Amino acid sequence: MSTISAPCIRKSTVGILSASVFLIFAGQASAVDRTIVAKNGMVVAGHPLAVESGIRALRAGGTACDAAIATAATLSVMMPDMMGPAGSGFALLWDAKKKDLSAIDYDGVAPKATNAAQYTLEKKLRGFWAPTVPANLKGWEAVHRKCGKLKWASLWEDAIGYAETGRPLDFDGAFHIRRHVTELGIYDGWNKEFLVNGNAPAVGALQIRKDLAATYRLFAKMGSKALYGGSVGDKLVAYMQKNGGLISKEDLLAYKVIWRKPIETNYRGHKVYGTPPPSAAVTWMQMLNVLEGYDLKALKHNSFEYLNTMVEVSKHAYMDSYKYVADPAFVNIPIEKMLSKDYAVEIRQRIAAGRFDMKTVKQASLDLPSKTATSHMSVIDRWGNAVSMTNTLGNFWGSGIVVEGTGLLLSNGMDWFDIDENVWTGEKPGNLVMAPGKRNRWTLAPGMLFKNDKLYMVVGGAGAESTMYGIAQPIVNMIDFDMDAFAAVSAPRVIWGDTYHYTGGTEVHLQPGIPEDIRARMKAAGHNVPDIGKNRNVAAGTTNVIVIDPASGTYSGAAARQGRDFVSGY
Amino acid sequence: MRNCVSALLAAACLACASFAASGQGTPLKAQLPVLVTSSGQSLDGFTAKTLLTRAGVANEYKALAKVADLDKVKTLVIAFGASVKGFGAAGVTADTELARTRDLLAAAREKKIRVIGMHIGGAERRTGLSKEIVELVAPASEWLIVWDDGNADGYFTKLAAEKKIPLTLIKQPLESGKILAAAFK
Repeated sequence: MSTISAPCIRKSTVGILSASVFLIFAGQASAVDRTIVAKNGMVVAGHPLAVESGIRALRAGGTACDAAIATAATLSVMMPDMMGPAGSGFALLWDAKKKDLSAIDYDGVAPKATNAAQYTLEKKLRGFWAPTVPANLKGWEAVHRKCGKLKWASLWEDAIGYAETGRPLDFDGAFHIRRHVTELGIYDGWNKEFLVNGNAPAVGALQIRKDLAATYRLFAKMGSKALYGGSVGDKLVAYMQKNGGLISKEDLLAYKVIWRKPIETNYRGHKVYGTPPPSAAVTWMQMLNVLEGYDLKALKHNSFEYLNTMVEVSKHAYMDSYKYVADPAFVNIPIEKMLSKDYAVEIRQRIAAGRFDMKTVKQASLDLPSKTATSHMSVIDRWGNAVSMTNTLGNFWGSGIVVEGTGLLLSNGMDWFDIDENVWTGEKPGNLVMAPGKRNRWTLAPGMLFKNDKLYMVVGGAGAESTMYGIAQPIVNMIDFDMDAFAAVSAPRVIWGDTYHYTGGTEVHLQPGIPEDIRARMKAAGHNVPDIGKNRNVAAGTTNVIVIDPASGTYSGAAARQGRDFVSGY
Repeated sequence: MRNCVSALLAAACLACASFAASGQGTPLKAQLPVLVTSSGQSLDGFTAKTLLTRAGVANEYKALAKVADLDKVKTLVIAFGASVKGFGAAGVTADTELARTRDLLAAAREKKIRVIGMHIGGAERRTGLSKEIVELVAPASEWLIVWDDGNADGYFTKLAAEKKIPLTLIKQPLESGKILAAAFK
């Protein structure tokens, strides 16, 4: 196994974000932008410096799996509000040589001591009852064991360096700390880790995290054992016990990642794959399955007829998502039916008949100016191996609990279970009810598409319930409307319903760029279309994608113009 | 002329703020029992409850407090400003939240319960539904404790001057607990 050499500019790197950032590493120039075409390898992810860590792994002879882990490790320092080793995730892995596609579920589980009756909205959202059992570290390790080539420890070098010498705070980084001071500053761990004397640091500050660097050194040296049975885990359990939290040593030792069979469907001659439930990939796949029965090209992109069709199709896919998608160990999920062509016909018939039987409609508030709460990465290497991986902490900053002496931020996976009514089905609660050992439903939804048995697209996104809209529409843009990758992920979209997991809502969000006359027609057709900027659903769905040119084999990477992701290749 | 008036009003409010924050006293005296609630269902109410408890003031916290909960209450603290995440409870919508807040304020007025408004969520809690909530709660408060991040446009300064509501502008939202607690001592 080879290793990655330390970055020569680690101590002087600054994280100034712009549409195009150029960083020089060890005499090799790597462009970081919103869209790039390259031949040998590519990484699209949530922060330029994390992207560079992935590219460095690829240049060092690493596989897409190595690059994904290096990217994830650095990203957890650069975007601690979005993801980290104690969060949850899903990934699709393509082994080009073996022609093998696998799906891994490293979703955290509800602790054994979970008692749904004792939860309130506050308790599942933030604080010591909010985290599910940490999962990402174990997932990343499993991915590395399956298809990594470089030494595990080498993949943590950049992350350790940035934690040790300082995370350069960019606008988004500073903004997301400041807007959570009131909510999370009451938690000592978060306060000490991210605030300076109770205040949010400004753009340009260096955020040094010595405890996290020490923890990551243990992860690099011992792997997941450091957390699941090792000293980091002991600190976590002690901190939980001290503060009345639920996660126990037994929970940590019992946690297992699950390798699952990817779910599949077809769309206009493409084989479409996604991660199975409790991932929500089935939702965008179901949208495609139903959309296939319409001549979208004839309808014309973002025409009234097209948008109307997209809204009606998405209503059914999302209702099924909330009705069925949960932990398959706890509920029966009719996944084959959901992705069958017969069921697609049935849904189209219901649409034609104007039938949509949603039990309840609730409206949420608005005014969250943020873009996403999760981070997806798409990675491909010189051999054509690929990774589509989505990691999350749940809400921004997860539970807000930073484990004393470790720098480790825990998720709020428990918030994604229901303790109340399922607004889609009216059940009180339904399949999403909390239970010990249960995995929660996520909107994480990695995907891959193949054409003529060759990998054609690596795709995924973030943005809560907007994620699946953000994946389905760019795929349609590329396949039906021949858009290039960047145009496809950046084109204005329609999103029906409010963003968050518990509320359906009925607003139709037409993103800026959709003409006023079309907006007027949608309103006239009876859709609840708020004025631009007044919609309750503020998440656009941040999408990133790599498209492989079947003729030349080049990789076209793109991150949505309106998102937080960046791409680099070589 | 308008600038002069604004400057005087701002100075008066700042004087009020420094008076409260310096520990020399508070703009009003509050009595126990105190009920902390939210208008807008952000977690700012939970933060207010936590900080008040840490400052040694026993309090009851009900995010969705109703008029019936005001029985025997002498002081009502309302942390106001909306957050989408709080609208998960069954039956809670923007309309029901505004109606509940209106009812609470009316009942508090009738029962002569002191109403202290806390806007500690910053700029985040000024737009959208928050705007309606701010415009409902702020003018009805007898004392406003506001993180200055949410007062960049001077809304609270102007309102406090016009309505003669004591205003304490704070630099850190986490200071709010001690400032509020001082009113109960």
